This record gives sequence, structure tokens and C-alpha cells, in this order.
Amino acid sequence: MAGAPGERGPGPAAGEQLQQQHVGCQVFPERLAQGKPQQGFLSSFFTNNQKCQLMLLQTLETSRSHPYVKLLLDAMKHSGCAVNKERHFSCEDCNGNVSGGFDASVSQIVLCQNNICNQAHMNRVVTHELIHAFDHCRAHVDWFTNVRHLACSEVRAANLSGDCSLLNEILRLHFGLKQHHQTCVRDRAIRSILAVRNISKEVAQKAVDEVFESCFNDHEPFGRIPHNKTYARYAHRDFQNRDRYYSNI
Amino acid sequence: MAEGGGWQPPRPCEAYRAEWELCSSAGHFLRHYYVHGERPACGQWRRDLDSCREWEERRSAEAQVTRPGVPSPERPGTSPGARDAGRRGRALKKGFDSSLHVCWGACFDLYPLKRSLRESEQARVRAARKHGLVWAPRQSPPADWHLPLPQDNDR
Repeated sequence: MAGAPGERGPGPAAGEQLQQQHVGCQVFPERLAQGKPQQGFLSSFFTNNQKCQLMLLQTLETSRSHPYVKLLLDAMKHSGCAVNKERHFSCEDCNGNVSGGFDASVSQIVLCQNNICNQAHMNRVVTHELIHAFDHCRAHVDWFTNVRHLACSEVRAANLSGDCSLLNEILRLHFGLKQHHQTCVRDRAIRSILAVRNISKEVAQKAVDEVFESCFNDHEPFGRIPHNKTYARYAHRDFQNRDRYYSNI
Repeated sequence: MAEGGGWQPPRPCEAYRAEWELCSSAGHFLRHYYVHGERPACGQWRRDLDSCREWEERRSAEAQVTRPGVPSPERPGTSPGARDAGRRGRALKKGFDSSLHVCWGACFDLYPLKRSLRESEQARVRAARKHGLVWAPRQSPPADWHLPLPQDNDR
């Protein structure tokens, strides 16, 4: 993501590409049900910033219906990084076709209000960026000078946020089954790196290849790949049970 | 007597059941194949579920025969003279003593169940940690996490 000149320092450290998802937003909306009147209402009477703020509030406040976010928020609080909506999120217009980013220089998640189309998209972007924020909180991630660190966080975010679910890939017209999830994770991690770093695709691909085995199998804080809300709910249950678990093994 | 120290299965039995059912579902088969290119292995969840349930049943039975109000006879091997026998002392006399309505030590032998569940979960933890980390973990959160944004300070 390229931040607007003068508004933000070095720019977000990690970003989520939009690419085909932008096309999908126009042609194959993630909301499979047609004609949600409140979406049309929002479009008519609210600015992009207001819509972004409302959708973000929906994601954070109704986290029971989105267990991915609930678990990430709880895990970050447990690690000493309690998330404050006003401090750690910012809805802004973005250049290019990115949905959001994590600005490690100020520990803030940027949401691209001009590119996030609907609530489901917002949920997924917030999940993706919270994974970057979680990595920033729990580890010494060298976002700006170590492309392997950036690659690792992008692999994890693509793997654990639902970006590469079978349904999302089909909606992008990417058809594949056996181990296609890994192909998607690699591809989207490379795209995300290229969105925020001025490096060649070969360098980005090499970095992803070097860290893939380690980072693809790092499922913290979920403990598993959360394929859907059921998996995420089970992961949250395990997180809440961790004291009993580790004291009895 | 049963295993001491207040040990319990690492997960509630209901969690083992839920994991086994999820693992065995057609949807999980499809997702696992989509990610890993092979079928999932669910047998260990079933074995853990069985161990957990058996542990709970035996502990429940133990609670029945050592219910409150029944005078607790001196446990074999726990007299001052046999203090160094520890828990092993309680296993010296085995089986159900109908005269006392008490089941000693190995009568409810829960240790194999405990060992099975612990080994299973330790294997899961090892599998999750076998890949090295790319970065160094923090001992404390980033210093600026809770600080105001720079532009907020300028106001």
C-alpha cells in the first residue's frame, strides 16, 4: 500500500493486496445474499470514512459472530497489546488496489475505506492486519529491513485469515484442489510484499520460499488453520483453556 | 487411590468429542486435502476421547466408594513407618475391600489413562513447535504500543 504523501511516515510495513478481490467485489460480491438494504442505504447516505468506521465497529463489537477477531484480540491482550479502536485503527483512502496495511512505525492498522466493499471483506481485512499486529506484539519483527520477516508475517496472514479459503479462491476464479491452499498463500504473500516494498518479484519469491515451511506451520494464536468460524471457535475455546491444558500435559 | 495432585485430562472430554467429530467430517476431509494434499488422520482424537471418558468414569466410581461419611481407614503404606513409600504405598493392597467399601490404589488404576493422554498431547505440542522461528520472541510488548500517535502529541 502506498500511503498518501505527507500524511504518514515510511508507509505501512505490511499490506493486503486487493487484486482480483477488487474485481470480485464488483462482480462476485462476498455477500452471497442479494440486496441487503442497509448496504445500499450506507452507500447513499454515508461517506466512505463513515461506512468504514461503522463496518469496523461491527467487526470489533460483534466478535461473537466473528471468532477470528475475538481470538486475536484476546491473544493480543494476553500479550500486553490490548487493542484500542481509536488508537490502533485508521480508515483512510489508499492509492492502488490494496485493502489495508499495518504501519509498524506507529503500531496502527490502516483500513482502505475506498477499497473495502462490504462487511465480510472488512472482517477478513481486520483479521489479516491483526495477524500482523499480533506478530509485531509478540516478536522482534524487522518489518523494514528484513524481507524474510515481512514474508513470514504475510505467509501467516494469508494462511490464517481466510484469504485462501476454497470459496474465496473459487470466487477469484482460481480453481485448484490438492494443496492449492499453499499455492494461494505463496501467491498472495508475494503480492502483499510487492505492494509495500520496492523489490523485484524474484526477491520476494525467494524470501517466501525460504521462510515458507516455518511460517506456514506457525499457527499462533489459533493453534490450527481456521478454515471457517467453527474452527476459529474451537481455537478460541482452546485458547481460553490453555492454563488447564499446559498444567496437565 | 486414584492419581493424586488434582490431575485432570488436558481437555474436557466434550472437546475431544468435538475434535473427533470435526476431524471425521466430510467437510474437514475436503479442507485438509485442499491444504495438505492428503487425507486427515483422526484416530488419535478417538483414542483420546475414549481415554478421557474412561478416566472420568473411573474417577466417578472412585468418588462413589470413597463418599463422605464413610470413615477413611488408614491407607496401607501411609503410616509413619512407611512414609518413604509415597504413592506406591497405596498400591501395596490392591482391589476392592468389601468390608470397608474402599477401592485401593491399582483397583482404579488411572495412570495408564493419564499417561496416554499426556503423551498424545505432548506429541501434538512437539509437532506444532518442530519448525524453528524466523524471528526472536519479545519479552515485552513494543514500547510505543500504548503511546499516543505522533500527530496527537503535536496538538
